[in-house]
Amino acid sequence: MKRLNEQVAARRTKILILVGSIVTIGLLASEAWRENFGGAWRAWQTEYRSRLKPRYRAGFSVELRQVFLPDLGRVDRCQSCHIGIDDPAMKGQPQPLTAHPGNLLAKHTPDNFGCTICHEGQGRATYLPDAHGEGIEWNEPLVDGQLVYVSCARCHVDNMPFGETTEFFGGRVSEHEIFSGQLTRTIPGAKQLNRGKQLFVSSGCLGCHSYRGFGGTLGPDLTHVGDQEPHDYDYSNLPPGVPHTPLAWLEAHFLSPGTVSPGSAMPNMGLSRDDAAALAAYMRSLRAVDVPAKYRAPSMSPKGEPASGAQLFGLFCAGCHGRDLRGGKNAKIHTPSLANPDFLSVASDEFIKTMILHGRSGTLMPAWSKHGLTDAQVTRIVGYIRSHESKGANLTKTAALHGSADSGRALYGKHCANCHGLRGEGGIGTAVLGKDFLMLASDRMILRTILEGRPQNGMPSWHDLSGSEVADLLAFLRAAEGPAVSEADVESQLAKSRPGAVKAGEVLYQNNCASCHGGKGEGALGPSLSTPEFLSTASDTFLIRAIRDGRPDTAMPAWKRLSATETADLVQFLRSLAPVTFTPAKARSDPGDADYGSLLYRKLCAECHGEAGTGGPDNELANPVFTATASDGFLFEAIRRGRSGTKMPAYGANATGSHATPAKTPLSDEQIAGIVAYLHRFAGRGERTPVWPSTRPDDAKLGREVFEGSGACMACHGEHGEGALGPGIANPRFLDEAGPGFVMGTIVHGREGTAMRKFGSWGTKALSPQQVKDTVAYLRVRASDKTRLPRRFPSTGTVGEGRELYERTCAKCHGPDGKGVEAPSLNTPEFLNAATDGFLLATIARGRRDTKMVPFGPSSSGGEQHLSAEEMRNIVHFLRSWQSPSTVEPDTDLPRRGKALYERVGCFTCHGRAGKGGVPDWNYAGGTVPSLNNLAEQMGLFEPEEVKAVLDAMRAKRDLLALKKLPPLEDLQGFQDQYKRVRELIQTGKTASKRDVNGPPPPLNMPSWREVLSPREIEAIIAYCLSLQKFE
Amino acid sequence: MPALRELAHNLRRLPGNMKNAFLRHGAPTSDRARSQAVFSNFFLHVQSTRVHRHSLRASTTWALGIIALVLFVILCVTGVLLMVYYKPSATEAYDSVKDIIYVVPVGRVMRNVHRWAAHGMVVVVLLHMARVFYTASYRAPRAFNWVIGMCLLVTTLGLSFTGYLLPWDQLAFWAVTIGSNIAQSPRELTDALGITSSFDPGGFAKHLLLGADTVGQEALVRFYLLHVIVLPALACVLCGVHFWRIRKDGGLNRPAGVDESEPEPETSRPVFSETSDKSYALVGIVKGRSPVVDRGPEHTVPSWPHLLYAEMLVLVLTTIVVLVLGYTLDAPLNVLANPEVPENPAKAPWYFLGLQELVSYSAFSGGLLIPTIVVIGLLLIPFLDREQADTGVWFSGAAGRRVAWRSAVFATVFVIGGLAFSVNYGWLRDWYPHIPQLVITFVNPGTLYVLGIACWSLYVTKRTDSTRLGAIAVFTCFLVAFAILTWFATFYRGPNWGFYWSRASWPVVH
Repeated sequence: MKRLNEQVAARRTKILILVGSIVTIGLLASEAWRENFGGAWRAWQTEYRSRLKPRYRAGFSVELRQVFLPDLGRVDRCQSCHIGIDDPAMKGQPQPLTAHPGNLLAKHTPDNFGCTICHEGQGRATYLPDAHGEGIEWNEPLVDGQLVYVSCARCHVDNMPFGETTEFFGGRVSEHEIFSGQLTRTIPGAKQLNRGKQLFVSSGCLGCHSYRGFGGTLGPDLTHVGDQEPHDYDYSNLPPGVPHTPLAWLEAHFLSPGTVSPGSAMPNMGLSRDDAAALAAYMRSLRAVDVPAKYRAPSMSPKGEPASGAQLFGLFCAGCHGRDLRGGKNAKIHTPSLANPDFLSVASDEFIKTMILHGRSGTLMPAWSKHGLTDAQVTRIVGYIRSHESKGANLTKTAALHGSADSGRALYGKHCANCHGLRGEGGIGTAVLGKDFLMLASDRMILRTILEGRPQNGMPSWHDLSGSEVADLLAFLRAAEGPAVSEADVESQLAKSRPGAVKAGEVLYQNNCASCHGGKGEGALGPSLSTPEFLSTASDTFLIRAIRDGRPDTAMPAWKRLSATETADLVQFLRSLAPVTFTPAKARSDPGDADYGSLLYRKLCAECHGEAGTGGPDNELANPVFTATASDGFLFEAIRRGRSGTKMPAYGANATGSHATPAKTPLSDEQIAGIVAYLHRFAGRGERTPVWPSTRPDDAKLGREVFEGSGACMACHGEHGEGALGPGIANPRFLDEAGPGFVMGTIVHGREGTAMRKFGSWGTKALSPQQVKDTVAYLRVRASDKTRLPRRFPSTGTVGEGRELYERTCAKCHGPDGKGVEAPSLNTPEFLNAATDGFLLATIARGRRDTKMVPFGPSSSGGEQHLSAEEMRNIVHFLRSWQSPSTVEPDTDLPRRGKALYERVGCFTCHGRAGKGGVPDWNYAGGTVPSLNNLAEQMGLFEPEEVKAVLDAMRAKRDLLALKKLPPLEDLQGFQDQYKRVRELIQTGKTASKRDVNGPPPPLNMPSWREVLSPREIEAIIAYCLSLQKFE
Repeated sequence: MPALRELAHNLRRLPGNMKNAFLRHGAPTSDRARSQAVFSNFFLHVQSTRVHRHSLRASTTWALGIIALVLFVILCVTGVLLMVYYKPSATEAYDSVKDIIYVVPVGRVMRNVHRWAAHGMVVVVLLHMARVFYTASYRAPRAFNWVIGMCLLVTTLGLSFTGYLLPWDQLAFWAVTIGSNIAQSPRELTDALGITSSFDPGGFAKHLLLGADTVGQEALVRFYLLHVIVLPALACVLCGVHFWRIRKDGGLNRPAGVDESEPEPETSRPVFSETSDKSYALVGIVKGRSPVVDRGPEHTVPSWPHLLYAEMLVLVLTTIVVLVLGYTLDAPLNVLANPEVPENPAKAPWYFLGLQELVSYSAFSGGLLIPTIVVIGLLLIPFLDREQADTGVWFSGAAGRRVAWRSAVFATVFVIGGLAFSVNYGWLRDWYPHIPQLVITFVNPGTLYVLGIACWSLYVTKRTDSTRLGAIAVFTCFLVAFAILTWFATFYRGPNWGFYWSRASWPVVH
C-alpha cells in the first residue's frame, strides 16, 4: 500500500481547494456578468444610440426597458431590444430596431398598452427565443401580420358575435335579443378577423356550438375557445407539415374536420384555405374578457334593429340545414332540406315553429327555446324559411283564365287523387267531385283553397302549380257538374206548360228549396219567394238563372243538376205561389242620377244591404248573378213596391200592387231611379270578401248547443270543430276561403257521397235557419280561438294493422321503433305533438321530392306500394300509439271497428245512431229509413248465444258462408242465406221504392258501397249491427 | 477614572477579544490547538479530533457520504432560494416556475442546480450504500447505522419524488400519478380476494398521499409540505444520528491489519503527549480501551487540517460539478399539467422505473411485495451476516470479488433473459386468458427474479460456506437487477408500456 505523506497531501489539497474556489467564484461571476452586462438587448440599444443624432445621444442610456401594467398583469420588456418602435426615424430599418408599421401606436401607445397584449410572446424574457416563445414550451408564441388583429378582440369586445353582452355572468343568457348591428360589426383594418366573423355568423356554427349560452350543445362551447392553450389540442391527426399550434390546428380542422378530429360530427363546410384561416383567426379571438374596463374600446355603433330571420338562420341553422336550406352535406348529420316545396306546402308555420322551439329529441335538432332563442326570433326564422317557398299563382289572374278540363283531369290524377280519391270520393281529403260540393263552392273558394292550401288539415298550398294548371283543375272540377241547361230549353218547356208540372215542381221544391225558402216560399235563410211583389216583377229568365247559377258565395247553390224540365217545373210551381201575373216593368227613359242614388243608398239601404251591396247571404245586391239578371225595371219595382212579409218596405210614395209596409221616408220615382243607377256600379266587382251574418251575443252559445247537441256536428267534426271523421271546420282559413254561404249551404244541403247529410228540412233533426246561423256563429268563435287543436283523423283500423303496414312500408328507413335509420326520426314527442295528422297523411300520400320519401298515395307513380286512405290512416294511427300507448286496441274487436266504420262512412246519417233508424224519407214506401238494431233477428238469430257464436266466428275470421256447423245455431242455412242477402244489399245498394208511384223518387236511397268498403269492412259493419241486438 | 480607561482599553482590545471568544483558545497553530478547535466547535465536533490515515484514502470511501451531504446542503440552499418565488398552487405553480426561469436573477441556474443535485444525490446515496456494503462496514457495532442509512435512502427517494410534482407540468403530473398508483398497488391483492370494498389499504395509501382521487391541489400542497418541511427535517435528524453514530462506532471501518501493514508516519505524534497529566473521566463510560475505540492512536492524524481540507475539497468539487451541469443543461419543463391528456407512456421518475417495470407485471407484487422484500432484506443484512473476517476490505478479498463478478453475470443473464422472454412470449395472461389474477400476482417475472436471486444466494452461501459471500451475491444481484430494470424501462419501454428498440420507433399515439 502506498505510503501516505500527510504533509504533501495536505498542501496539495489546499491548492486544489484554492483552484476549486476560484473556479466556483468564476462560474458565479460569469453568471452575474451574463445577468448584468450580457444580453443582446444591450448591443441593440448601443447600436440604436449610435444612430441617434449627437444631441440626443447624451440623454440616451442603455438600460433594461420595461412597461409595467398591473391592470393587465403584464411586464413587457420588449422595448429593450425593439428600442425604435415609436421612433418614426427608424422606419424601414431591420428588426428589432424598426419602427412599428402603420399608425396603430398613435392610439395604442406602448407605455399604456405594452406589446404582448397584441403580439403575445413572453414579455418578461430578455433573450430572443424565450421572448418570442419559439422552441420552448410557451403557450403564447409571438404573432405578427394579420394574426395580430386576433388580439384586437381582447379590448374591442364588440367584435364578438353579439358584441359586449355584459349581462353574461358565465351562465346561460336566454331570451336575449340579438341585434343586427352586433352581427355585422367589424374592426377597421382587421380584414382576416372580419372575414372570420362574417363566416361565423353566416355558417350556422351556433347550431352545434354554443356561445355565451346561445347555441347548441353538440360541439364544444366556443365562448372562450381563444383561451385554449396549445396542449388543449390533439395534434396526432394533423397532416404532416402542419405546425402544432392551436391556430394551425383550427385551420386544418376547418378544412377537414373528420381527419383532424376523428369521430367528429362537424360537417366539412367546404371553406377555401383563406376562409379557413380567417375563421381560425376569429376563433382565436373569442376569449374571456380579462382586460379592465378602461382598456375596452367603446361601442362602435348603436345596437339598432333586431337580427333578421336570415341573420338568425345564418347564425344558428345554416350549419346543419345548409346556407341554401338544402340540408346538410355531412354524412353524419341527416338534416332535412327546408327549401323542399313538398315540405313547405304541407308544413304549417306553427309546425316549423314548434319544431324549432321544442326540437326533436332523438335527433340532433335541439329545443331552441332552451338555447337562447325567443319566440319572436323563431317567428322571424320561420318567416325566412317561408320566404323560400315559391309565390304561387296569382289568384285574380288565375280566376280570369279558362282552363281545359282534360288537362285538369291529368293534373287531378297526379296531384289530388292521392288524398281526394281517384273519383273524387274523398279519402284523406274531402270529397270534391260531388255535385253538392260543386254547386256550393264558388270558383274563388276552390282556387284559393288550391293555391293557399289548408296546412293544418294537410291540404298543401300548391305554389308550384302554374296559374293555368290551377285553372285547368278548376275546369275539371266544374266539368264534373255536367253542362248547365240553357235558358231557351227551359223557356220552351215553360211554353209547353205540361200537366202535373206544378205538382212535380212542388216535390222538387220540398226536397231542395224548402229548407231555406220555407215550405210555402215564405223565406227563412233565403229570401221569400212567394210575395206578389216579387213574382209580379221577376221575369222567368231571372228565376231560371237564379236557380241554375245560384248566387255564388252564398248559401244559394247553382242547381245545374236540374234538367230543363225540372227547372221549368220549379218555375211554374213558384209562379203558383201567388195569384199574380208577371208584367215586365217598363224601362224608364231617363236614367237616374247615380251619385244622388249613392247618397240615398248609404242613408236608406246600406243598413241591410251593406255599404257595397254585400249585405250578407240573404240580401246581397252585389252578387254577380244577381247584377247580371236583375233588370232596371225589376230593381225599380222592387224598391218601389217593397216585399211583403219581409223587412223590405215599399219606398214608392203610392206603391200600387204592394202589400209591403210603406217606408217611413217615401222616395220619388226619380230618387228610386237614382238608386237603381247606383246599383249598377256593383256589377263587375271582382274580389268580394265574404260578409258574415251579424250575430247576437247569444248566437254562439246557442250554436254550441246545436254543434254539440242536437245537430251532433261534434261527432264528425271533432269536439271543437278541429275535424275528426269529417274535415276540420273551425279553421279560420277554411271559414275565410269558404265564406258563410258555403258553410250554411253545406249544412242545409249536406254532401252526397259523404257522411255529411242534409240538416235542412229533410233530416232526423232538421235545423231551423236560425240554428244554422247560430252554428256558423259558433264556428267563427271557435276559429278565432288561438288554442286550436290539430285535426285527428280517426282510423277504423287498429294499431295492429297500422303496425303491420308500418313495418312493411316505413320501418326500413324510419326504423322499427320510429327512431330513424336513414330517414328522420318520427318517434319523438316533439314531432308527434307538432305534426298534425294532416301533415303526416299528406307527407305519406305525396312523399317528398329529392328525398327517399316516395309518395304512397293511391295514384302515385313512383311508390312501390300504394296505400289506400284507410291504410295511411292506420299507419298514422299506429304512429300516434307511440304518443299515447293506451290507445292500443285489441286486434279482434270486429264490432268496435264496425262501429267506427258505421260512423265514418255515414251509415248513421240515414239509419240513425246505434242503428235506431227512423229518418223520414219523402215518398218512400216505408216512410222512414229502416232501423238496423234488430238486424240479428232479421237474420234469424233469436238467442244471445247464437249472436255470440256468429260474432265469435267472424272475429276468428272464418267465412260464415262456408261454415259447416255453428253449435248453438239451429238454422245455419237460413242464417247464411240472410247473411248473404244483407251483404249483397250493402255492396250493390238499393233504390227506395215509391209510395206514390207517380210522385218523385224518394231522396234517400241505399247507395252501393262496393267501391268504398272492402268485404272485411262490410263484415265489420254487419258484426256491429248484430251486436246491437237487445234481448229482453 | 479607571473604568473609563478600562473601557478604552477594552475598545482597543475588542477585535482580539472577539476572536478569542470565538475560538476560545489560541490560533490553531499546533495540533493540540487544532484538535481543540475541532473539539470545541459545534459544527466540527461531530468529527473526532484525530482521524485514521486509512479513512482519508480516497479508495476507502470515494467520499460518497460527504458528497451526499454536500448535495443535501446545496439542495437546502437552492431549495430555500426557490421557495422565495415558488407558489404551491395548482393555478400558479407552473407560472411561478416559469418566472423563476425567466425573471428571477440566477433563478434558472438555481433551479437547474437543484434539479441535478437532487438526481445526483439519489445516485450518490445508492453508491454510498454499495460502498458500505462491499467494504462490509455494516457489521457490528455499525449495524444500527446501516439501518439509519436505509432510512436515509428512503427519505432521499421521498424527497426526490415529492419534489418531482412541484413544477406542475405534464412530466411531473403523470410521473406522480404513476407513483401514486404504485402506492395503490395493494388493491390488486384485495381485488383478487374480493375484499376491496371493506378493506382497501392501497386506496387508503393513495388517498393519504394525494388527498384526493387524482393529482390536484391537495396533492400539490401535501407534496410541497413533505418536500420543504417534513422530509428535510427528517433527513436532518437522521443525518445527525448517522454522523453521530459514525463517531460513536469508532469512525470509519478499516481492515484489521491496516496498522501493521505500514509504519507510523513521521509526523504523527502521540495524541496527548503535550499534557499527559490530564485525566479522562469519560473513559469510564466508553466501551473499549480508549476513546478511540478498538484502536491505538498511533496511525491517526489530526482532523484539522487533513480531514477538514479533504472535506472542503469535496465540497468545492461537488459544487463545481453541479454548477457546470446547471449552466449547461437546463432542467426540463414540459407544458402545463393537463389531467385530461395523459402522457403515453407516463413514466415515473427514473429511480422508480425499475419498480414500474415490475408493476407492469403485477401491481401488488411489483409495487409492494418485492420492494418490501428488498428493503427488509437490505435491513437484515447486518443481522444475517455476523462474520467478522475481512471487515473493511473491499469485497472481503479475492473470493468476494469473484462471487461479485459471478453474481453480476448471473443476474445480468437471468434478468435480461427474463425480460427477453416476457417481451417475446408474453406471460401467463397471454397464454391462459382466464387465469386467476392471484396466480399472476405471485408468479410473474418480478417474483421469479426475487426467487432466482434468493436461490443463487443460498447456493453461494452453501458452496462457499460463508454468509458474507452469500450476502455479496444477493446484494450484487439486487444492484444489477435494479440497474438493468431501470435502464430497460427508461429506454426500451414506449407507449402502452410496449417494447421498442428506440424512441424513434414509437408509434404516434397521443
